[in-house]
Amino acid sequence: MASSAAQIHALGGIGIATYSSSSKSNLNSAKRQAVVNPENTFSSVKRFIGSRMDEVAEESKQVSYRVVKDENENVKLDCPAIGKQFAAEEISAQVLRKLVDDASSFLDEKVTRAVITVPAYFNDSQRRATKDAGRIAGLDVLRIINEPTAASLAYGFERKSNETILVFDLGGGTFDVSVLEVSEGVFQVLSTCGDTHLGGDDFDKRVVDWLASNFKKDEGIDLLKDKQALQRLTEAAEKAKIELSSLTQTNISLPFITATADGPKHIETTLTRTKFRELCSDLLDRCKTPVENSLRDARLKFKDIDEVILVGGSTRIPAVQEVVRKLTGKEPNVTVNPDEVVALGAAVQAGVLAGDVSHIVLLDVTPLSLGTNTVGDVRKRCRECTTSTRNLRGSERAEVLQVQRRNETLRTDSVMSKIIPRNTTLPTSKSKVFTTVDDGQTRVRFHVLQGEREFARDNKCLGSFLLDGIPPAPRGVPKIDVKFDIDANGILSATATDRATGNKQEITITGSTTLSKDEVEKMVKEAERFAKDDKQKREAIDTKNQADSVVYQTEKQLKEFGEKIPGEVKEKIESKLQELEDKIGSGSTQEIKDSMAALNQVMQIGQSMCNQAGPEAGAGAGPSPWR
Amino acid sequence: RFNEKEKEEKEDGYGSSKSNGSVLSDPIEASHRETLGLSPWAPLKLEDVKHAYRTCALKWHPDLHDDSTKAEAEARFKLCVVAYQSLIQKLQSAKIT
Repeated sequence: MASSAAQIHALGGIGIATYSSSSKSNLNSAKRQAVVNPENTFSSVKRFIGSRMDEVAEESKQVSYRVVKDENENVKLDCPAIGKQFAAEEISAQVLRKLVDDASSFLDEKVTRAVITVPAYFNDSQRRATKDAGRIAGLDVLRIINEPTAASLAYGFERKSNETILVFDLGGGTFDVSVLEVSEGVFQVLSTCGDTHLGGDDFDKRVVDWLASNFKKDEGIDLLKDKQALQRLTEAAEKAKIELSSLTQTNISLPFITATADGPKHIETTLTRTKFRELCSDLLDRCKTPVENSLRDARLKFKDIDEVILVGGSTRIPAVQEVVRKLTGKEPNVTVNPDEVVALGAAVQAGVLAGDVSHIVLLDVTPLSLGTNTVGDVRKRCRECTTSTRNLRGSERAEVLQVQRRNETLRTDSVMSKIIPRNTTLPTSKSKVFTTVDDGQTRVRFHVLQGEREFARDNKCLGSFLLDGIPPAPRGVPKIDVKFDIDANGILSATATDRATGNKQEITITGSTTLSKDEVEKMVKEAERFAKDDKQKREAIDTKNQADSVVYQTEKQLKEFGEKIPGEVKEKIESKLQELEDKIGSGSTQEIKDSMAALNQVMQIGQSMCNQAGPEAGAGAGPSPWR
Repeated sequence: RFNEKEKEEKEDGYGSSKSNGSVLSDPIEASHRETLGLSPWAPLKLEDVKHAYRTCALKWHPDLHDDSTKAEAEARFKLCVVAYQSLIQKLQSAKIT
């Protein structure tokens, strides 16, 4: 697989990584940061990306930082430390940038293109936002692929047999189930289902609430209101959860969690596996529905499944494995590393897209139905006014649905007419015929909707466009072809054509719905600047460290060989050394570098003199003290 | 007279919906079979349809094509998907009845 990742490098789920505003840091240091500085440390950003405030009301209460909305109801993450509100895309971009930097230095090659994975049940705007995050990080995002599908690619990469597999992917914040048929190198997704608001974080939250409610009962203090205490509780809950995967009970010890007039208060308790399961029982139940639905959509029974693959860190929870076992009647396959398999699969797909892997193809599906809005009570209206369908021939009659009236916003009673049903293999084009609802109606506004709900309003609106200039005619007479098209890259475009005039209107949904194109451009620039600043900062630190070690080495050598070199050279070295020490304290990176070079020069003179004076001693010093 | 008999048989086969695989009765199915490279005469079998579809996918999926042939491949692949789904549906409804 390494060969396939020459230019392209795969990036696993970005949700697990955490980012602190002051410095990009690894997961553990960010977790420490989270305790000290909860309001300025962002985690689980994946839950907010590409979402509007009303869609994530519950999540925003669970995090230690403040989630706010901008004037367009889009989510922004508040960072009081630098007085700025970030889009979730920007935070994700920082995570991506760090991953790319690490990958670049590992491969010793610049990484410019990427395949990024998302939960299968992400809607279009969440996917686009993720793509934007990639662009802000300076990446050319070749493809957004679904995490369970990626996992299946990694699992089935080396296997030849014909298998039907079910991927159960329970991560930190999202839950996906996909059913695939793998045979002859073709990975065919039959169905996908999921819950974008269920994951390991919810299990942690249950433990936090349990600890906090016990504490409140005993001490009368609500710890959930104290951000710092909440962060410590969350950390302890996660640790306990992880320990309960291998132990049957664990101790939770949180000294000095808060203080009252009586003195400091501590939490010291034991959590058993049974209690943990009890706390999370409803979450475990919520895992069942997507599994059942995905099988129903694939028209399969549990007996048809050959392998059940567990993906995502949360599938290490014994109770979750138990649910899978009971539900499917199969021993789940745990041979793959649940944390890495998704990234490996993305690497396989990257190989396919780069042309390095040709015997494998992934046939993925759209997880949610796409459609447009039509007037409610279609059948009733049709019966009342038979004229509306009279002019259409038999096969078309079934397709006719009346589009919305002239007004341009979504009416509360308009329903969704699906054009591309969920679980349709991509790429795809589908069309339907629509007509007008009013006599003499000349314009129609189409909303592009995504979701499974009956009423248009309850689905996600991805955009809208207006078809104008329809010749006035009785209602039901004009015929408008509406075609939805999703290409291999997952770009959705919608076209409406009036058959009478050939008038055509189209919309290509490219930009995310939460960020405008300009905003993304601005963020790309900002991120580049940040990257530059960060690079400078890193360089400064590296130089300082280097200088420190030069000082140390010089002092050591002066002590050892000082008497072997003439006094004036020694003085020179000492003065340069002093200069360098001063510069480390206050100088710029360049000044430190200059003094280092100067010291190096005089040291070399000293060394050569030392070698002349006594070759035996010189040999002991080595060719250069800092090489 | 022999010719007449042959003709009769042909006509009989033409209009019948017996499972001997005579598909000329359904021009849509015939074209779907052609799309997937399946014989127009052989009885329709689930495994054959799946195998043919996989072969087509490996040949026409746009991911496996570079920019010069991508658009054509995408169009071909979409046809294959339609053909596959239609044939699968036919097999499934036959199974139910």
